[in-house]
Amino acid sequence: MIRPLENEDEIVKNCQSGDVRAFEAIYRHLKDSLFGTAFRMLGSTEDAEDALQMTFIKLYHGIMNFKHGSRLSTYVFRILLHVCYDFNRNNKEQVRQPIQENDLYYQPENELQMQLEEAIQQLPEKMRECFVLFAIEGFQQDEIAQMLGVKTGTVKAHLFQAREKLRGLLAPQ
Amino acid sequence: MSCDIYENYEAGQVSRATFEEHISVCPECNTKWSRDAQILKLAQSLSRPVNRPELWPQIERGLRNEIASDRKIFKWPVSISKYYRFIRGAAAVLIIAVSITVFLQKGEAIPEKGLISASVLKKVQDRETEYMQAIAELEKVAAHKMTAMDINLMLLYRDKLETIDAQISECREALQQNPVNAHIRRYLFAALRDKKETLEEIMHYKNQQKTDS
Repeated sequence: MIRPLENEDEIVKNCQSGDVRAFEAIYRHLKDSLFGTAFRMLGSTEDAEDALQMTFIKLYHGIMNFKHGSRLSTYVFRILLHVCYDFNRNNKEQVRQPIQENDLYYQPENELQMQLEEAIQQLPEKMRECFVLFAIEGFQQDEIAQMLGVKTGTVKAHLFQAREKLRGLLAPQ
Repeated sequence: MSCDIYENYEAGQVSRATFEEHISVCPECNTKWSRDAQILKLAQSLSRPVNRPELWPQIERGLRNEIASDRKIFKWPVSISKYYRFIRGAAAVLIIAVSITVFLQKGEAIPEKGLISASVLKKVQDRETEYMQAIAELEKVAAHKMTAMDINLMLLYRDKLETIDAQISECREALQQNPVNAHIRRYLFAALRDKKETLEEIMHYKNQQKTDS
């Protein structure tokens, strides 16, 4: 679970005034989790960087609609996930490279991790995002439900199906 | 037929106690449960890819371009009282003057309103640098000459220069957020020109006194 930003209300207000430093504060607070999520949703650090850039542009355009009282991190992640959906839809025809080829910024520590990374990439989008957010990024199921705009039960179902599929993909040969 | 107790437990339809009792007697659910726990532990051990330090500057550039292209109305960052303090301190500091002709000498004018293009911005920044260099040279000499001035006159000039410096500082701070805003650029140039002229005036005054004597 990501701890809330300090002075979140003030940061939102400053973002609404177009203060780039406020956006930077959000970036510094969430960058690792955002980048990790985008990387696993898109399968590439390069695409993840593009997704982050688009996320902050969309955040800038959408921040006026942000409702105080909601969690800013949930809002930012919701934007990121939409950006990743759009990206995957627009790049359906492209062959996704296996993760081991992104060795500049990420390398799994062992064979088992590599297998899991490859298996995650084979999950359908909804299952993948629920699994990544829950199992890797450590969000609670109700937080994920808010990000996705669905009920918690839906998240639980996706998680169960994701684990079932991963069991099959990672079954000993 | 496979057992669905595990799925029902995950869906919240079976209590934990009931499930734990079930997996002690159901090999299928026990295997799935154990395997899932292993996969979850493995997933939690995965590290995140490293994001480059250059990523934020890249994102920042994109944001600033969006802000600039939206042509947001510039909000003057200072309070009204500070704004009027600048005007009071120096009659020559005419912030609202529209007679800026700094660029006429070099050919390309800052537009009357709106935003300036990237090519003009470069030229503007080069001119600002030239002004700052000239000012720096003048300051070295003027500072020395001011010490020899009549005290009241020296205080007047010092007050005027401080007011102009504060205006320059506030313009620069505003330009960090909005570098292509033509209004702020004009205010900055007005201030730089005023400072340069004030310093030249200080030097001329000293020379005049020498001539008179």
